[in-house]
Amino acid sequence: MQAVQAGDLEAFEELYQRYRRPLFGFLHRYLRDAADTEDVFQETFLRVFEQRHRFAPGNAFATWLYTIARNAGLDRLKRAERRVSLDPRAHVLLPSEPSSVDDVLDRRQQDQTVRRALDTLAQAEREVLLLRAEGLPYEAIARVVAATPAAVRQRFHRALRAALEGRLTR
Amino acid sequence: MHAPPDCKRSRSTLPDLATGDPAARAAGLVHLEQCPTCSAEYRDLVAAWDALQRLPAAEPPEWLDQAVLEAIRRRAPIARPVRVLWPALGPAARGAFAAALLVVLATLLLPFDRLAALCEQVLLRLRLSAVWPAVPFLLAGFLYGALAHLVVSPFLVRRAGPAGSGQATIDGVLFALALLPVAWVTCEPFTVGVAGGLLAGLVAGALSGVLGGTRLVAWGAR
Repeated sequence: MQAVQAGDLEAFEELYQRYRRPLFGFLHRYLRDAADTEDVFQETFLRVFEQRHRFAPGNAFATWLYTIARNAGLDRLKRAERRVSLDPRAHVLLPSEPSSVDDVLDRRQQDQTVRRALDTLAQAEREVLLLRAEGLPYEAIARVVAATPAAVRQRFHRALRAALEGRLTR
Repeated sequence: MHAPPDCKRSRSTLPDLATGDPAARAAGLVHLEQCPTCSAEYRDLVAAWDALQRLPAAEPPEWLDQAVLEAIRRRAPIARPVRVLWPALGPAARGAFAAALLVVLATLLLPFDRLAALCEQVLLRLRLSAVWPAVPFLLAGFLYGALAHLVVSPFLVRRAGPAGSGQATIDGVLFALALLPVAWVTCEPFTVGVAGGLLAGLVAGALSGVLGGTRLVAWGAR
């Protein structure tokens, strides 16, 4: 990140390659709209580059990246004030493992169920659940969503249980 | 009917346990082995968490990658980063060091009195007889100043904009200060006025350096 702060484009491209997939996946699930995902994804990386001098060395880059992405995504959600169902054909979805035709159909049905369950969650709970699924610890998520780690843990527990009630597993 | 205290405690950590939090495992697993209710909820939470994590990840399309990187390249203030030889030093210290180094090198390669004599010969050959003895020295000073900025400016100029000109000016002043004692000794047979003429040449060199520095910044900026 220090090289990026000095204006090194090659270093920025390395960071981009490392985080492009996880960030896009997070935004895709968070915003549930293909065009919004693309816009916010692009906006996030542009902000990262333009505000690179604000990044404090010693902090985790992922936390900073997801903070920018979450804020940009939140702005977009507030502005749009809409909940558009995501068209799964809009982006290439990477299957986690190769499967038979039946497995693929089962998986597709299950994925739709998971997405519907996520749709039932409140925005504050959904974002915590998705950030946790990205592997961020409570402390990092707390910085991203500007809350205490205890509050984040509580939200996560609520979200996972609510998702379960929304038949996440059936 | 209320849940037993152990169940209450267990339920408060079940989501952490289901996501594989090692801190929650130690206390949670013992209770799960004895409590079918909590154990069933734990299994459901694990299944929910697995389903969420198995959700296929969307891949950014290729055109988006290209668009983002292209936009970054357009916004990048520096097309190619200028290598700074002494990053630990500040710009002023680097400028002073570079100027002193250049004086030594220039004196070794082409001593100032030789350069002044050369200028005098050129002026005579061009039939531009020196109307004032200081003119060759003024010209030599100008050449030294211009040379200094050609060499030193790339090390100092790092960012686009007016800051580049400012750094080149500082560089010019530092160079003039570093060269003045050398010039003073070299010009001993002449008067103080000659040294003043030399200084004027150095200032002219500094101005050329400002222009040179600005050009370098503009070349590096886009």
